[in-house]
Amino acid sequence: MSPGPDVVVTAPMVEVLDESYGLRRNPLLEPYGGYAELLVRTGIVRPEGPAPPRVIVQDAAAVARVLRPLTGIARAEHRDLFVVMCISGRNQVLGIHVRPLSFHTAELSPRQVLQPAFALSASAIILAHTHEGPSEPEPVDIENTQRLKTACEAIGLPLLDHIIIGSDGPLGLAEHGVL
Amino acid sequence: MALQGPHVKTRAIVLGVEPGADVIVYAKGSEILRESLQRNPAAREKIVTSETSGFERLLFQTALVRPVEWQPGAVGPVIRETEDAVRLCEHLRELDHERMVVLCLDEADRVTAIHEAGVGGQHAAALLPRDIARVPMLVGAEAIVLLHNHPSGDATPSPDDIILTKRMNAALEALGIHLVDHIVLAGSGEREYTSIRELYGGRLP
Repeated sequence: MSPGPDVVVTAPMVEVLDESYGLRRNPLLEPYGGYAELLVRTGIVRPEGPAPPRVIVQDAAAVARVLRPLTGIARAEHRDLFVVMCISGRNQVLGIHVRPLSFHTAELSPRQVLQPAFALSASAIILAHTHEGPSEPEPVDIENTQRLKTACEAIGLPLLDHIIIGSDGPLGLAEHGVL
Repeated sequence: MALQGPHVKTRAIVLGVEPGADVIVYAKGSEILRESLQRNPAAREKIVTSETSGFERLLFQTALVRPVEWQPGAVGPVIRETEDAVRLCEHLRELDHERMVVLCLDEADRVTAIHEAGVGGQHAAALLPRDIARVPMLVGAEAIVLLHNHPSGDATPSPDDIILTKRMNAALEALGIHLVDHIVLAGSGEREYTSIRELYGGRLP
C-alpha cells in the first residue's frame, strides 16, 4: 500500500489526544505508539526520514485513508470512537483527538469539539466517529452535525465534514448534503 | 451547558503577541500553552535560550509579552467596572495601530490571562471570532472583556466595531463564554473610552 499523491509526508504531526486536551499521547493509542506511528506502520503514510510524518489531506478519500486505523482500534477496544481531526490552512493534519464515544458524546458541545482545534491553532476541523454496524447516519448524527456546523461557522473554524466509519466503509455527511 | 472546560484553571498568565505572528502565550502550570508557544516558529528560537535566562524573564525581555500590573504566579486583578479593565490596557493609547486585547476572567471576575491579538495595522474588525476565542478557550475562561484602541483619538465605536461585537457575542455564546463588554479606548493623548455595553443601555448590541 503506498500513499497517494494527496497524502504528503514530510514533517511531524502533533497528537492532541488526552482528556485534558494536552498535547500528550492518548492512553487509548499508546499500545500503537500513537496515531502517527500507526499511520506509518499500516503503510498509509510513508515518512521520508526518521522524523514523524506530516500528513496532508486534499480530499475526502485522503481523509478516509487517514482515519482507516480507527476501525481496528474501535474493535480492539470494544467501543466506538469519536474523533476531531484538526486541519491547517494548508490542509495539513495538525492533530487527531480521539476519545471513546460515550452516551454523553451524543450531546457534544461546540466547546468540547473545538478545544483541540484551538489548542493547535487549526483552521478547520473534520469530525468522525465509528459505528459498529453500517455507516448509515442516525437522526442524532445529522442533528448533532448541523448544530455543530452552525456554531463552528460562527466561530470561524469551519466544520468540513463528519465521517461515519461503519462496517461498510466510511461515509461523509458532506457528500450527503448534511453540511 | 457546562461553562467550564476540562482544562486546568490557571492562576496567573501573561500573554502577548508579536504583531502579525501567531499567539505567544505563557501560562504557569499549563503545559498546553507552553507547547503552543513552542509550536510558534518565531518564538521557538527564543525559547531555546530561555533555559538559562528563565522563561518568564525572557518573554518580557524580548517584548513578546507585556508585563501588566502583576507578575506571573500572582492572582490577577478583579474586574468590577469598565474603569478596572481600561486601567490594564492604558498602553494601547500609545499605539499607532489598532490592537485588540482579550481579558480572560474566571468565575470570580479575576483576570487569569491577557491576550493581545495583534492585527498589525489592520482594522481590529478584521479579527475572526476564533482569533479572539482561542486563548479564553485554552485557559478555560468563564468570561472575557474585549478592548481595542482607536489611534485617531476618537473613542466612538465604528459601525464595524458594533458588527464585530455582535458577531463575537454570538460565537462566544456557542462556546459558553460570556462577553462582558467591548471597550474602545482613544489614543493620541486622549483619555476617553467607550463601553459598548453602556452605550446600548446595559446590553450588548
